[in-house]
Amino acid sequence: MPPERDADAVLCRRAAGGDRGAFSLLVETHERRLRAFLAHLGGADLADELAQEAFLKAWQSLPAFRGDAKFSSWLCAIGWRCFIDHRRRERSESRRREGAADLAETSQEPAGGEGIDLSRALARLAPVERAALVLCEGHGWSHSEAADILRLPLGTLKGNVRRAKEKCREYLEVSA
Amino acid sequence: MTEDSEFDALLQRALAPPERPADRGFVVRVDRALAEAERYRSARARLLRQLASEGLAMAAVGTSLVMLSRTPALQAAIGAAPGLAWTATLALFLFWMLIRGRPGALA
Repeated sequence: MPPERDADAVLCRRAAGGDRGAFSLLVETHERRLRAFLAHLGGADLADELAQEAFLKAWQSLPAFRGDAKFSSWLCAIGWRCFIDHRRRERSESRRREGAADLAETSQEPAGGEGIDLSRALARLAPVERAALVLCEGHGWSHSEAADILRLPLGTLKGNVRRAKEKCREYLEVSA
Repeated sequence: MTEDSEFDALLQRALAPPERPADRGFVVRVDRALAEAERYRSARARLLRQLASEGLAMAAVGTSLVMLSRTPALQAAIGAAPGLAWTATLALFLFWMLIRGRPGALA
């Protein structure tokens, strides 16, 4: 077991026993990656809100965490489900209000700086394609780990990554 | 470097999590939210326990009253004066209200 996973396992055991200090250390270690992942899905403000919700759910579910998976991938899966639930709530509210914009296009347009075209290309992807691309290309998860996080069959995950890359490349070529 | 690997490198740079130290402010916010959730959870558990024990007590009192009302002597008394049962129930209810309002009343 890699040392960081070992350290996480120890902290998880302590946190599952009610040690809030141990859980704070887990938050400190993993907030950067989780918030970065969620920011690509819904923007920085929503990412903070969803990450907080994900950590709360993780704290409540820790006694049931068996440690088969890495804590980081388990947490990331909780964050993804928080995003999906948020999206579902938004959609039903939008339906009530009528005529709301498609959430696939709700990710924030970049204000400027390096990578602006790529950010625009990402904003045009479906959330699941964006999530698959961010996890595999940006965060270094393997295809099977990302499939577990997003609860997708491996083939579907690979298809999403390939499609997302093609769409981004097409957009960048057109806009160049 | 091929076009493909250049594109992959571009993706990696743009999508990688930022290199920065841990955000202490966020950690503190999560800790506060956690404390709040724990407080809420224990208050809810306390309330449910209280509801269960009060429900049990009321069921016990109700059953006792039914059993009492079935004794022949009491049935005869109620038959002779029907208002007696209502007066007794009302007195019991007032007594219950009194001890609910002043928890130390029977101490």
